[in-house]
Amino acid sequence: MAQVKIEQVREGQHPSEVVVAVRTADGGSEKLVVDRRSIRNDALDVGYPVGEDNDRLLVELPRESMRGLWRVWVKRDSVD
Amino acid sequence: MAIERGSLVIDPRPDERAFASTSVDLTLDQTFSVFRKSPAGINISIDPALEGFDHDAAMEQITERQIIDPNEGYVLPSQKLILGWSAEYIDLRKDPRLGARVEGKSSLGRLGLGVHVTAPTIHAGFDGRIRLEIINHGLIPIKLRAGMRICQLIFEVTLGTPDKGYSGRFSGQNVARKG
Repeated sequence: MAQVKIEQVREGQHPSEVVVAVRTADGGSEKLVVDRRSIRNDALDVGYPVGEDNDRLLVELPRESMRGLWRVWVKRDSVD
Repeated sequence: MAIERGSLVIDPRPDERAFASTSVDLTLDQTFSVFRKSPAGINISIDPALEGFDHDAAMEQITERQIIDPNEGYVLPSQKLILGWSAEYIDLRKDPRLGARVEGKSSLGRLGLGVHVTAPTIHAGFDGRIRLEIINHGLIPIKLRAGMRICQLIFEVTLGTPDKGYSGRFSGQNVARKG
């Protein structure tokens, strides 16, 4: 199963939650709330990429982002 | 069965009375968030479609975290919305075909207590505690207590194989992977 790298941004609303950011291929980021147990080595499970385009991969996030997105394009080197 | 197979994790595991054929009751965590009242004379509004809108940061601004008093409970007034969480951690990552819906308990529903607002779906691949939008639609205040049975998860199995989460033999065969 692939993992996408994330940055921990801040605590979530519940003590079990963390706000994380996924760096997108266009240089932006998508923030989402996840459980602390979801994070392993500063990365999140994303199943397998559901699309590709040159150096980009389309991955499905484990939860809806704060902007309401499930799938985001990320750079290939941010997925292990 | 799904728990024994390892395709579903519920932690802590509910006791046997919480299970039915296709559902399991979950309990209310002690942590919840209430919406702050606007100071007199100040009107605020939320613009969730604005570029850069940070939902969780906004919620931090307009809500306040509280703990349910273990003795007194928390009295939810009529027509008031609060945000709560299940006490149980759910992990659906092991079985990519397994999803769920969170629904209320009929016994509480008859009192006017709802536990979600239009978003009951727990997608396959989810892990975490279930966020609840708890609202008292009734006319009489309802006392909430940590540990009470607040909602139920109804499990669903998807038809076909989702792109995400499947880690079987044919996973990712249409997409080139790194390395």
